[in-house]
Amino acid sequence: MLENYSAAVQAAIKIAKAKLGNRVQVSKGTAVYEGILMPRISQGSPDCIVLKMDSGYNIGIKFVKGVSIELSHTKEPAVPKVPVSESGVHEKPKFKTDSSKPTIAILHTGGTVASKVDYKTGGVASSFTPEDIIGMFPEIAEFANIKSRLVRNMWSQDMRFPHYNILAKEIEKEIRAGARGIVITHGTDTLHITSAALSFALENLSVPVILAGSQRSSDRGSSDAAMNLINAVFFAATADFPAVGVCMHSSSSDDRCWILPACKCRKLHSSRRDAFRPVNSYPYAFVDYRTRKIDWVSKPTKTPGPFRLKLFNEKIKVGILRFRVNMFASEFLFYKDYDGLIVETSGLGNLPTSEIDEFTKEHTKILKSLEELVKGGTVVALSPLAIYGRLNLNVYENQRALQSIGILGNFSDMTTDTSYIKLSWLLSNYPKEAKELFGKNLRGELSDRTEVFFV
Amino acid sequence: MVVDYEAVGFKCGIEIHNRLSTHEKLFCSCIPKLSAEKPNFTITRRLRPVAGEMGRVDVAASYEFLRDRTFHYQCFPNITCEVERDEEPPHPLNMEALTVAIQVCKLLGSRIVDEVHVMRKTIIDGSNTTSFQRTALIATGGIISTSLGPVRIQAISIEEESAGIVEQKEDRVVYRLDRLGIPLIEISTFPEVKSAAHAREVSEKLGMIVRSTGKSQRGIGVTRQDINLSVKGGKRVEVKGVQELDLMETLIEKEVLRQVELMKIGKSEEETRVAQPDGTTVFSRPLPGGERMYPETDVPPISLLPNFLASIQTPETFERKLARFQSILPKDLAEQVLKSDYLDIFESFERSPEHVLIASVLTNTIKDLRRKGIPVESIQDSQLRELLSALELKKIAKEAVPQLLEKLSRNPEMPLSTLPMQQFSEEDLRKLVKKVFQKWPALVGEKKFPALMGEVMKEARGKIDGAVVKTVLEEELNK
Repeated sequence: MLENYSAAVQAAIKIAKAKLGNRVQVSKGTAVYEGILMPRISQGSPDCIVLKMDSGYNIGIKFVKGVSIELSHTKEPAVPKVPVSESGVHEKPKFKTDSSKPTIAILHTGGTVASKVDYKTGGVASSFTPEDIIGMFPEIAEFANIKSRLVRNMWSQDMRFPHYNILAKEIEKEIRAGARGIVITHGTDTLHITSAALSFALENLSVPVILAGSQRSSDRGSSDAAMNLINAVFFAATADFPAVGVCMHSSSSDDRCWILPACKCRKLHSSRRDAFRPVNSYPYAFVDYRTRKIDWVSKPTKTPGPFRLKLFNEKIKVGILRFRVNMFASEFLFYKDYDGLIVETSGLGNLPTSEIDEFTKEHTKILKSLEELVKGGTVVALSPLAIYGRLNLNVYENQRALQSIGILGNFSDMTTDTSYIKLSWLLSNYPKEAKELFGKNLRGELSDRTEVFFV
Repeated sequence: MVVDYEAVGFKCGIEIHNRLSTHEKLFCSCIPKLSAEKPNFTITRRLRPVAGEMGRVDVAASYEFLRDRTFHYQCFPNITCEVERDEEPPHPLNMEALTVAIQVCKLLGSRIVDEVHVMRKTIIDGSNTTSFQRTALIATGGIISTSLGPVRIQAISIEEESAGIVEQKEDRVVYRLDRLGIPLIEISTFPEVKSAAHAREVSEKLGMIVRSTGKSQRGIGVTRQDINLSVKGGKRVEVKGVQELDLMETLIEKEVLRQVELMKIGKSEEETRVAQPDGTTVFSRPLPGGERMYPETDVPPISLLPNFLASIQTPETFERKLARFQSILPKDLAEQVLKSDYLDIFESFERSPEHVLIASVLTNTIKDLRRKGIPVESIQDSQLRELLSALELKKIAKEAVPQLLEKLSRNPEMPLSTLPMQQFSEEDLRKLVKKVFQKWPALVGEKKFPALMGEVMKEARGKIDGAVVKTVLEEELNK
């Protein structure tokens, strides 16, 4: 933990026989600073010794010639002696299993729901144990017997297909062991991608699988983690909901969460609590934080057939290419070794494929490269860059050219991330039928009607 | 009842908190001022206790949590953004505020740290949407000289102002977010304050030091004092939020007497109390410990390099300012200007031929208006300067100043040019009097004062004080 200090500071600390957490005196000229020697974060000056003063403030004192460190002989100010767990909760929670309550399995994948200060990076890091989570949110034990396990401790941007498979298997294990519902804590950046992936991987699901995250880290009293997690557990423990859903703040207020469709929602703000919004869909329900009342908007129905896993082929390669002005054919051809490609198009489904003057010769090449991709076996599908709304390739002339070379996605109202997950999953499980199935609704990801929903 | 401070073993330290008039708030680019507009929407939040850096939940924090309240935050157009709502991480620390703090450190001879670490101080009474106040220690040590000898400075820090309270009920508190995040400088002294009167002197001097940077906000509530005090054998009590220095003395006296009474029955408790308008205090919560501080990981530490520190100019000390003012102003007026909120404005008119008049406007006139409940704080600096320039150039009469200031206070957005600026100067008045005399020579001959007064007032009414008209008319008539 001394690692972020410079070699000179490390040596001086060693000579003083001091350790992190020791009370030390740092003398600089006539000034003597006394406090607890703290670890350094990676930002700032490695030459500065960080002390926590009795007032609680941290300060940095630059280690230059004439500065000395020694162990202090002053006693630390007395602090109340209480058993302290890592999260700061005074006692480890003790929960008795109550047979009248349903069992909820909480599977943690890291992220802000379970985070606190990391001295290595200076940022917030996921480092709470699952037991600490129960300690932090004791309400969840009121309506369920809680099982809690850390599946992976990772940032959500580090997710890969194998992690979806691990998660799906863990969920299956818990369902077979009798869980009434599953709650997954997840970093928010890719939460809606995991929710889509799980809804494809978990076929004929019979219990609620609810993903919850937090936008403001749980090391602060104002974190949205508590409301999202407590509401998610409550919903999983009580609702008739045989599907995957996302439970997050529906507004900036701590009043109610909404349960969003796994395949028809996305993160639409980098930091706000209500970053997750339904896209071309209603939310399923609202859960009131205070009254714990569930207000339904629409209910998913259970698909017939036995519950089973349909996992991702970890070797499948699908890309996403976003439309922009001034594109080049080589960008499209880059994906010729890929199994699939989602192209985010402008408007109703437009790509720069028309040569209208001497400056647009590249566009003919783009159209040819798309044709080459499709002929070479890469499944190409379109999705709307505009986020909201549905593609319609019958409106403009140039779009018909795209249809005729075998590009998919006409009438799709799926988000890009859902299109990406769906295509990857289809290529994993139904490589021959993938093209046909892409345009069929399998998990509520595609609708014939575009819902009018204003937030 | 007179308190013998030495006999009761009075120990007292003071913390002053002073809002800074920087261009932006401490951790976002909102304007650091209170909104005159209505809130455009309100959000509702709940808070939970969290552990401090050393891994223990703070006693005060838990206590507040047990009250299970909801907090309602009013948001204002242009003055609150996602940072105040705790919907976006803080932006980098405001370097202008840091510079002001360093100037104050230089004036007090404090030892500035080499690296500033922004901390989160747990406060879950809802006055911060985050559940903590961002604060950073800038320096330790330093000395302020007083009539009763030097008082040592313990620490100087900069921190976020909290949200302003609008309404408080048992289970819900309404706050306004415009105030949240305004930069505050906090200066705390060692417990070396010797009496209530001394406490007032120390507070006044610390306030003057902040004002001498020219970056202090002005008006009621801009400076707040927290008083830490104890009597022999008793526990430390922190009284928060003392806004008026006049009240401060009464409050300390009453609290000492309360403490002495408690000692007799052996019930002294360590706690935080809040100052009441009548100078008494009421219990607020158990005293929070150092446990409630943990690092603000969203703001990287800031190295204060020698070159940067050297580039910051030390403002003139107030002793030197006083000496300078005394050479041009009557002694009392010089001292009043020094203690005034408008010190920096006076300084820009110091060389004006009307500097005595301007000093008097900035102290006596403003004080009178404030006493009448007129919101003089809302007058913008630029307007005040424009008005004083007009006064200097005799475009307006000094008699018209209170009336003009009152108008500006009530209509802060009104351009000065739309106010009745063509006020009569004494010179104008004398011209008018002469004109009336020429028109009515008979009345002059008969010295018909009331009739002449009536004629002059026909034109002068509302533009100059009647008493002045009377004096001038008498003078001219008796020439």
